[in-house]
Amino acid sequence: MIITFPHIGRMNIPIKALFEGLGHQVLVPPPTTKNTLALGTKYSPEGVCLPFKITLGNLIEGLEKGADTIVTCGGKGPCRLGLYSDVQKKILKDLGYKFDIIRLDFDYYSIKNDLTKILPLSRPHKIFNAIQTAWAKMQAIDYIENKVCEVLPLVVDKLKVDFLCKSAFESIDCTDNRFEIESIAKWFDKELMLLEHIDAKTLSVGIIGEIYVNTEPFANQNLISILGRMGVRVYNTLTLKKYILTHLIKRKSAVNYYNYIVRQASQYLGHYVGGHGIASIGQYIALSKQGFDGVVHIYPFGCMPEVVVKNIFSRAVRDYKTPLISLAFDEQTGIAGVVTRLEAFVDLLRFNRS
Amino acid sequence: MRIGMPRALYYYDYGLVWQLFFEQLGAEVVISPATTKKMLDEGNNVDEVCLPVKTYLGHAAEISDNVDVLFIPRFISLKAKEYCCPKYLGLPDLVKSMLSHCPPILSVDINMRDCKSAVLKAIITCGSFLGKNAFVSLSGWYKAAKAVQQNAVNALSGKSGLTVGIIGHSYLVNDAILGMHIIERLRCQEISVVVPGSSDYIGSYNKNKELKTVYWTHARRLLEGTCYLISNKMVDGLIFYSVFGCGPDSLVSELVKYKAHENNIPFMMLTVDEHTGEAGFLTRLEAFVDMLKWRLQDDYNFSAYRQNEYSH
Repeated sequence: MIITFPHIGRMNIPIKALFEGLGHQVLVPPPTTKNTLALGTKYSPEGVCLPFKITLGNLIEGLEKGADTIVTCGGKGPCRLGLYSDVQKKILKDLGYKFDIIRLDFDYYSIKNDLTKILPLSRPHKIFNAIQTAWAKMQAIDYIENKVCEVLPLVVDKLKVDFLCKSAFESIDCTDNRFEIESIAKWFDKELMLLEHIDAKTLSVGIIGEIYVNTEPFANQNLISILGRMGVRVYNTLTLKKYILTHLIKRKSAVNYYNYIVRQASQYLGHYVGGHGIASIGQYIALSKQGFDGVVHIYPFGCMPEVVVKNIFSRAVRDYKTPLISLAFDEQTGIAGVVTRLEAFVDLLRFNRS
Repeated sequence: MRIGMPRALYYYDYGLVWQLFFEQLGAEVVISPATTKKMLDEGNNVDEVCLPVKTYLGHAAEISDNVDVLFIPRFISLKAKEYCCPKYLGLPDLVKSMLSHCPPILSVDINMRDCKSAVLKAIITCGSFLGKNAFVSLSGWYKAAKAVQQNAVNALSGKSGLTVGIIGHSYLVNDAILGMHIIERLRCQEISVVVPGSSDYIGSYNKNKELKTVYWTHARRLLEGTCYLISNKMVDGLIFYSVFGCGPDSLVSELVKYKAHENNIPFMMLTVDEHTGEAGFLTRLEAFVDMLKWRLQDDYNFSAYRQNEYSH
């Protein structure tokens, strides 16, 4: 069984660690490029959202390289994610690929059928170790990404930051020792401190919206990096670690914070609309109350929950007055449009500050 | 008390029963007239949502000055483990945000995932809004529901021997502008038209395993209607009628397409949007009908050297 899975941000590193820890052979698909997107768009239905197209491209590239099992996630919510695996399976079978698909849902049927295929049930300590290693990697990656968001606007040599990130992620991928993983994060911290910093007041901007576009740099045209280079400190409200803590592990503090966010949103949106719709509104209000200079709302074009919420923002913006810009991403990869809009937005924020 | 109901979205499936219910309780119900271009333009203020929701806003704007309260139920779920489209879930909030002069909104949640008697609770809430107790509300609903008949399949016949099934949401196919009069146009070309309705009869017919993962009620009905028409050999061709920007349809159309191809049934997908130019629409319909007629004459069965085709 050679497992492959779609890319989402840097998740390939913890997921690879998890499945290798469980004793499987993993084939990470090639990094997402324009070629991946072109492949995915060619074989996807026209009106489907961007994550479907990119993940289909990832799966095609993974299967081309020799994988024979796909592990993907399911869903039950009103957004389209839950139907991805069925339609992608039909498309890939039609294209002639031979593979098995394991869809991870969190319900009894899925746990009984699908998880037993990947879990070595006779060795529970192996499962526990694999999960711990994967989680340690995810925490280190999350720490590094947050650090970059904070520090990028203040560092002079921004290319060096990218280089350090790349080295850190490669080192994390190569080791399975949890102490080594922690020490890589500390090393990254130390190296960042050694770089020359400028002393300036940065603008603070929060990013809200749909999780795939928030996490996958290819999907959002490296928006966080673009903003950092404009001197903006970015706070990403929706990362995979936060999502897993809130909705899968259900850690109490994360769940309480999520409920607080939903309560904030309730005056504008009375019910969960799927995806991260209600969290988007709630986060906008929370960020306004915390004094952020501006909020950037990003989502794939056509994303149903975000499109509903985008239209409701007009009322919230009238009340809270924090500038908000909504950016939709689709398979057009022209970066100029994104850069000009962000430049105009950042100019507006600077003007407001002065 | 004048209660307004826009003639869009859920109106085509459930509007009549709610209208009769409110009338039983003594309220005056104002339904917006059939869709006009003016309503579409009015509803266009909303970004990126699908056309039926824009039409809904246009209808709501049309009647907002003539009513005391707008009735906009929040259809969250009509069956356990299923959801309605996210736009239904956010509909009352969307209208409140986007309508410039929004009257008070009477909204009830209908969520069968949470509670099996969600509809009954909604009925009682609406009744108490009008000052009626639970017994009066429920008996008013019973009378209204009895008066409304729903058919499993609406079949309209044409002269030729061919039948085409139209798989599309009721709020599209039946709308005056969005529907592009597709049923009449097909009947003009002598085709019988079959439109699977929204009856549970169809739902219980097909317990196909592959439908288990489709969790949108209305999209699921489209698939069940498809399976019903195909299994009963009721159609010679299928048209999937959708609108640009419909989320569920973008994936469900693929599943319907695969179902049609598996059973060797000609399939065409028609996607409409705000453009009202009919030429493109008509040419596609004509081409599809021509193809169906040629199939009857074994048009694709010719010799490898094409001698029979070109020797006159």
